[in-house]
This record gives sequence, C-alpha cells and structure tokens, in this order.
Amino acid sequence: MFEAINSIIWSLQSVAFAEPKTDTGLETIKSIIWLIPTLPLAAAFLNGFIALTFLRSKPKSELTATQRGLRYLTSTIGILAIAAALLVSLIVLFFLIGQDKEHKLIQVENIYTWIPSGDFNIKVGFNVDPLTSMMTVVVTTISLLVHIFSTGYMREESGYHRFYTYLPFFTFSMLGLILVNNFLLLYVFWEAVGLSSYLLIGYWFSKKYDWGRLLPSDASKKAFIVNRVGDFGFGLGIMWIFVVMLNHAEGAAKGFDRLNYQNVFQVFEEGSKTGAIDHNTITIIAILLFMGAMGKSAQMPLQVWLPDAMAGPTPVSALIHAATMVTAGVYMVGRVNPIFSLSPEAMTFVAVIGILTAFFGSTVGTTQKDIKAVMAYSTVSQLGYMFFALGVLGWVAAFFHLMTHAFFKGLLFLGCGSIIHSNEETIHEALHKMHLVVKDHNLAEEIEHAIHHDVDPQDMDNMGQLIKKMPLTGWSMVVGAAALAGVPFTAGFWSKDEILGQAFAHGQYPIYIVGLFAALLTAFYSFRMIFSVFFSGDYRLPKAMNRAVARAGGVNAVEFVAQGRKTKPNQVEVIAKESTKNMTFPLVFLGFMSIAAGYVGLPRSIFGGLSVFDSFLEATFEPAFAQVAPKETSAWLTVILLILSGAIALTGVAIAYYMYHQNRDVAPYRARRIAGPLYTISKNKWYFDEAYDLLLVKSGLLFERSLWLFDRYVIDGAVNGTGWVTRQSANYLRKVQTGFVGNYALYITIGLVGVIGLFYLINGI
Amino acid sequence: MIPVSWYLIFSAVLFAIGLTGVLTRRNVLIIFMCVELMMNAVNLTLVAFARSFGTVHFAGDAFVIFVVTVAAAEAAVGLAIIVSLARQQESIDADQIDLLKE
Repeated sequence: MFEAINSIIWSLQSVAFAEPKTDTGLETIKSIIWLIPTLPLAAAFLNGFIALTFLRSKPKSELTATQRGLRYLTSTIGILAIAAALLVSLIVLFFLIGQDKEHKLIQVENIYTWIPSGDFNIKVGFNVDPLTSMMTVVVTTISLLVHIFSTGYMREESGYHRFYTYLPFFTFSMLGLILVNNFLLLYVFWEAVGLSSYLLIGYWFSKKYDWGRLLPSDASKKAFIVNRVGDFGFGLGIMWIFVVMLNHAEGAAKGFDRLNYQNVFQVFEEGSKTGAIDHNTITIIAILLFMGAMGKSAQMPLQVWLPDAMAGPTPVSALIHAATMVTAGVYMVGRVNPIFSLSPEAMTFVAVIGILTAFFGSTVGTTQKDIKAVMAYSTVSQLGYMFFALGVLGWVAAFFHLMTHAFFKGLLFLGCGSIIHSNEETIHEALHKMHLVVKDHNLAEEIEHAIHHDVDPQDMDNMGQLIKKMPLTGWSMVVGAAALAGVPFTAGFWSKDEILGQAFAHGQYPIYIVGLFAALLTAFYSFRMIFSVFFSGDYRLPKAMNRAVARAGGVNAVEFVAQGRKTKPNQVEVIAKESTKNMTFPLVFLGFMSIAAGYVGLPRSIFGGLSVFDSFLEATFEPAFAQVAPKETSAWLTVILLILSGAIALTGVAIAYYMYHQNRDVAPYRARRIAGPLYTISKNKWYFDEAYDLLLVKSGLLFERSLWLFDRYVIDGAVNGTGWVTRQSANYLRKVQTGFVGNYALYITIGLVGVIGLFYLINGI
Repeated sequence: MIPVSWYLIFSAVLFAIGLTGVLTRRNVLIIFMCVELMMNAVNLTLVAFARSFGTVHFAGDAFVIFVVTVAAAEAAVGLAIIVSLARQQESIDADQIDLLKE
C-alpha cells in the first residue's frame, strides 16, 4: 500500500514537473495503472465483509450506534476508493495527453499468465490508450458522484451497506472491462458488469408491488437473460477470432497470447491485406461481436431489458443503465475498430441497427408517463445515436457523444432520483401527519393503503410546479434536458451535431434525416418532462392523493390533503422539499459538466486546433482511419448544419412548451386523438414485449408442452411397459416355484432328458 | 468277456429305477435311498469304462472310490437332515414340505 502511495506521488511529480516523455515517467505510470480497478475491488470486498459480519440486513432503526457508524463507514470507504481511482485515472489521462501521437499507447503486459496451455495462452495485462483513458475518467467521475448521491438517496434503506458493496464492485468490473488487453478478459468483465447490473436491478428483490411496472426480481432476470442472447454471439465471435489466430499466426513463439488485442489486430490487418483471411469471415466475426454490443447496449431488437431495468434504485439507473455499463457496447466496437473497419458491410449493419434504435427510442420516449421510462427510452435512443455514428465511421463523434451523454444523462437520472425521493418523502410525511389527524384507526389504514397503491411517485401526472420547491434539482435538470435536447451551446448540442455532421460528411443522407427527426422528438420529450414536472399548472401530488383517497371511499367529501399552509383542522399539509446537499451537489456539478464537456470537442472545421478531444482520441482510431480517412464537412456547411440542428432542437422545445406548459390540460389529449394508432404503438413500446411473449415465451411453452407429452407418453410408456410385461409374465412363472422337492427333481429330469435329446438331435443317433 | 454295453444297459436300468423312485415316492427316506441307487448306477458305468478302456491308468476306479467316500459323507449329512426334519415337521412326507418356497 505504501509503495502504491509512493508511486502516485512520484507520478504526480513526473506529470507536473518532469519531462513527460522520459522513460521513468512511463514506468511510473505503468506501475500505477493496476490501482484503477483494484481500489474499487478492495472497497467492495471490505464493505462486503463489514456488511456480512456486522450488519446483515437489519432496518436502520434497529441498529446500535456502532453499527450505524459501520454503516456510514461502508459508504465512506466506497467514496474514498472511487475518488482515489479517479485521481489515478486523471494522472494517466494527463500523462497520455502529454505524449506524442506515436506514444499514446501504454501496454502493461504479463502481469501474470492466467492460462498457460499450449496454443491457448492468456496473459493478464492492461492496454491503455486515449480511448481507455477517457473512459476510465468518465466512469470514475460518474461513479464517484453516484456514490455521493446515494448517501442521501439510500439513507433509510436497510440494505445500505449491501448497496455500497455492489456499487464499487460494478465500478471495478466496468474499469476492468475498459482496461484489459485481451478478448477473453474482456468477456470476463463483460459478464461481471452483467452480474453487478443483475444484483443492482434486483436490489429491492422483495418488492411485491411496483405500480404496474415489472418487479425488480423479474426485471433483473429479464436483463440477464436478454443479455445472454447477445453474449452468445459475442462468445462465438471471440472463439472465431481464436480459430482465425490459430490458422494465421502459426509461426508464433511459445506463449504467444492469441487473444491479445494488439496481436489480433496485427494478424487481421495483415491477413486482410494479403487476402489470407476471407473477407466474409471478418464480416461475420464483426457482426457476432456486435451482437454482444446489441445486448449490453440495448440495441434493437434486444433493447427490451433496459426500460425494465429501471426497477433498480435510481442512482443505479444513472450509473449503470445510462452513463456507463450500457455504453460498454459502444466502447467495445471502438476498441475493436481495427477489425470492424475492415468490413464495410458490418459497419453498415451497425449503422442501420443504430439509427433504427435511435428512432425507436425517441418515438417511445414521447408518450411514457413514468419519468424513469422516458429517461430509459431516451438512453436507448442516444445509444442508437452512438452506434450509427460508429456505423457511418464517425468514430470520434460517437465517443464524444458517449462522454457528454454520460454527464447529462447521469444528471437527468440523478435528478429523477431527487424528484422521486422528494415525492416519496412528501407522501411519507403526509401519511405520518394523517395518522395524527385521523383518529379512526381503520380509516387511517384504508387511506394509507389507497395512497400507497394509487399514488406513483414516478408518474409525471402527479408532478408539476416543482421548480419552486426544488430549485437546485430543477434548474440543473433543465440544463441536463437542454443538453439532451441539443439546445445550442450545451454539451449535447456539440456532440449530437458532430454525429449528424459525420453522417452528412460520409454521405449517409437517409441516416442524417432520420437522425434529425429523432433529434426533434428528443427535444420534445425531454422538455415535455421538464415542463410537466417543474413548470406547468400546479403541484399535482396533493390532488393525486385526494383522488386516491376518494376512490377508496375514505373521506369522500373532504379534501384530505391541502397545499401550503391553508390547512383546515382535518386536513394534512403537504410541502415538497428540496433534497439534501449530498444529493444536490452531484446534480450541480453534472449540470456544469453538461455544458462544459462540450467545449473539448468543438467542430474542427470551424475551431481547428481547439478541438482537443478529436486530436486526443485519433490515436486509438489510427487503424480505422487507415482504411477510410476521416471526413469533415467544410466550415460553411458545418455552420449551416449547426444552425439547422439547433433550430430543430428549439422547435422541439417550443412544441413541448406549447403542449405541456401552456395547454397541459387540453393539448396532449388532442394530440393523442390526432395521432390515433401511432400513439397506441408508441405508448405500448412498439409491442416488442408482446411480440416476444407470443413468439418466444408462448410458442416456447407450447413446444415445451409437446416435449412433456412425448416424455409422458412415449418415454414413460416404454419404461412402464417394460415393468408391466415383467410383472405379468412373473405372475405366471412364479407358479413354477412350488417349494416341493419332487417338483424340482422332475424339472431337473425334464431338463436332463431335454439336453440329452438335443445332443442326439444334433449329432444323430 | 462281457461287452461294455451290457454293463451300460444294466446301469441305465438301475438309474431309471432310482429316478422313478425319486420322482414318484413321497417318503423322504426312500427318495434318499433312490438317490443312492442312481449314484451307484453312475459308479457302475465308471467302473465298466475303466475296465474296458483304462488299461494303463486307474482314473475311473479312483473316481468311483472318491464318489463312494463322498456318498458316505453325504449319507451322514442327509440322514441328519431327515432326522431334524422329522423332529421339526413331524412328518417326512415330501409332498407336505414346501420349505424351499420360503
């Protein structure tokens, strides 16, 4: 440990003062990279130990003072570990920024040989280049903010320490996924993030009612199983790469790692150049790998798990299902760009899936009422944007959007968390006061049940005017939504425009147009959410509570909840409160990032050298650019495209303003009537779940039933038939066994005569 | 010299008489005696063959002596069984005893 601290100090000095290109600097950096994933892992183990040994899952109120201390210790350990990992990631990032283009790849090889077995050698090591470095910084930053946010959001949970065990474990898995240097380890961490996602979606595994949404226990299984479909292809792709490597790297030395990224990329590049590796093989391998990305990054048709994954706690949705894990697919395609770029067919496939998903997500997002569902479909849609950016060869643009998206989507989800938390607290408080006002015990129980059952704290219909009560959450979410919508001069504006600009520059006009349309819908639904939650009309939560009580037949005539201080003696006062500072700080910080992050990647054709993001990440995509040189739109065209996409975004915002701010009580319903079946399709998520239910679940059950019948009547029939025949014949044969000696003697004699007779029959007399 | 077939015919008749006794009689003691009879018929064939063909070796004669010895032992055991049977079942009628069934 001391050594590690020492080396951090050393590297700090080497970055700040010494020549960045010296070998000692490189060696120091190499020696600290392992800390990035290991620190969160250590935190996970430590917290797991504390949780299992001292705390188990007692509710907060039953804990002793020491146990409470330990409970907060787990979150402190988590936060410190992630902060340290962030620090190391930043050191590595700044070191890489200081290097020449040729030196922007740090390879830490041979940490140890995991599998030494003939031709199958797997060596654990790290592969750090600009892409890796950028991803580690994004992941650790978001993870740190989510860790801080969760100290507020999960405050009352009895599984607080369990949460703080899983969260660093996820961070470890994700960092491992980013840092490793070969395909098998990539697969291992790919599954590890899947596991932590499963654990965290199912965090509230005992929930029995979730306002009509899929329950956490089912949602976690759904996520895991749908991911299996994609990972099946991913695994096949990796195996195929290994087979190709076996056939084409024959002269390799002993201990040659056939799944190491750099080895694989080299063999594929040469094999493709000389024609030794069939072009179709490369295409199929790329598409198989992309199947994994489709599962993990929720691309059509495997997107169904992500919206249901919102059953997990909201900070988890922010970290795993918006900012980091779901971008693993995008990262993987970028990492394997030397193979993908060899096959234009595979890239077209990626682009088509991406644009379809972007369009799908944005259409569904416009009609959802659950605030988290809107965000979930928005994530699906934005991931689609990243994939079609990759598909049209806008490599850097995809990762620019990945970064800005991580910030603003992380912000929006945490903001949703803040709202939901506040709503829950408000309801909780109202019920607490209600018990003081309503003396009749049965009636009070009835009211409580009605409110718990009917008033969904995530339903946007129960929100409005929250900006006055929650200004910090509100205004930072406005910034986040503006970035998502692509309102000019936010981060999302620059990154989304870069993607659309790349589609335009590479001549993919249909994709450009669909992308622009999806951007319009994106602007619309993000501000639909903002206006209906924060601005329009009045505060709707009390009304919703009154309705629920009236429907249950509790206190019919009386308005039981009142707003503000105008309470009558038998009424309960309700005031929404802003969340605590540990929850608003991450929001404000991310709000700042949602604007600032855009200014590292300004369009190069206008701002030239100011676009540091482009020039930094280019080193990673050298192999891809060697196949097809990067294209850019000219300065004038870029300006026109910028104005166009800015105008589209503002149009979307304006429509949302008209429908959900000015005429919230009328316009949405009128629009619904006009849209007719389109509304129904969108509201029902294009019937994907229903189609899968029919095609896979129901028909699967039918097939299963037929197999069961076969088993029951044919296989069981054969087995039982054998028994029946044996028993029936035994029924007759057992009569031979009389127990009288004479009979046996007779049988022996008959046998003797028979044998002798047979002897003569064969040999002749 | 009497041909060997005469001995064989005689022993076959003896064996058949013994076998008939075993199959038809009920008294265990008589069945037992019939078994002895059958055994002696076999001994007779052995001696006959030994005399006719075994001019150098005395394998057949030796075997007969061996059988007689074993038969003596067997007779002792068999009679003991019959005695205990008579004591336990109060009958030595083979048609009354189906202990083998159990």
